[in-house]
Amino acid sequence: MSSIDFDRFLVQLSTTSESDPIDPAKMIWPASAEPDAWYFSPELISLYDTAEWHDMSVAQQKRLSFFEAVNFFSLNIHGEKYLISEIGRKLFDGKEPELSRYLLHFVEEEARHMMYFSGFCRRYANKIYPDRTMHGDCSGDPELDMFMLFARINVFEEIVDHYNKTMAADERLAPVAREINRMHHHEELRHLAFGRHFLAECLERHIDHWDGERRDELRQQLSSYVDFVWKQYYNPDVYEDAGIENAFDTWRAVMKSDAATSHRERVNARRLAYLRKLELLEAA
Amino acid sequence: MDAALITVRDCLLAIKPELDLATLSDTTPLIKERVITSFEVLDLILYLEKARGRPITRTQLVPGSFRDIRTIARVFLSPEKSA
Repeated sequence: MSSIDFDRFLVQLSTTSESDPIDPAKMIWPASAEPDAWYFSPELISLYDTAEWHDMSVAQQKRLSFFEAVNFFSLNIHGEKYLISEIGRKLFDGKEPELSRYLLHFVEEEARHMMYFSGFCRRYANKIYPDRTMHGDCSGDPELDMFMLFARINVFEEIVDHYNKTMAADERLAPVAREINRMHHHEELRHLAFGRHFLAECLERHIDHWDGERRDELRQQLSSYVDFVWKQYYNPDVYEDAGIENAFDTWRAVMKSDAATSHRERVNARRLAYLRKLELLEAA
Repeated sequence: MDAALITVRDCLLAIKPELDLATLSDTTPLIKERVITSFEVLDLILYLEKARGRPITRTQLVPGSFRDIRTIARVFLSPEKSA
């Protein structure tokens, strides 16, 4: 894609963002969370199809689904905080005005998403699970750091969107959980489209001339980041709150379980195939 | 060896069983030398929380806190920090 086309694409995204905003203040919140409801699609729950899962009653599985939703919304809040702070530093650097214009919408939309994610967590769980992530220092290579920022954002959002899209369509879920996933999916479609085009643009402009060593470094960093994103979906605090005995040992075992491993591989194959095609991820 | 240093070594081995701890001194730079990545710190934090019996605070989560085994023990497991 040429830079002229990319500018036109950015204008289209900005225009859509301006004409199609979602207002979280209009969200209708039930007075309380119905205990006998699913808040997370069972097949997406981190313990799904493990020995622990099969030992639970349906009521226990539903309780777990509630805390899995709180964890999912919490990790989104923390991911969006990071994204806003990092993108904020790149706004209006004087180089590409249409890019800054769209990124301003991007940041504004992420701030709105935090309002409904935190609205659910505060109202019904009275907590947001803590952020235990640490993003580390810059590499000292500005091109690599810029590319990695947007590649990370894209990986994070692709995996999140798989969950949003599935749960927005899942009629078993409590309406409030479906609605939050629907709203997020709706606006994230633009962010995902931007991310894919932006990465392709960066590749063409900056990365294609890189030597093998720098490309290997990029590939290795991004592949590690995919694992890092997935780790956040497995939280011992969730298992503790759901009343699972030996929550810590459950956490230690679950990520390596066959059921969880196959789930991650399926989602990665579906949502991150384009990054592998661009040779930005190590072979599966 | 100090109990806190042993605990940190146990936690490192738990997140990365292939580590040869004998090759690491208490001051080997863990992230700089790529013994662990900043992404693997997420697991390490959970093991450290389990060991000290309470959550780690956000303000402690800066790369410098994970510089080496001695620093991790001091920041997260010294009595006044873990009490």
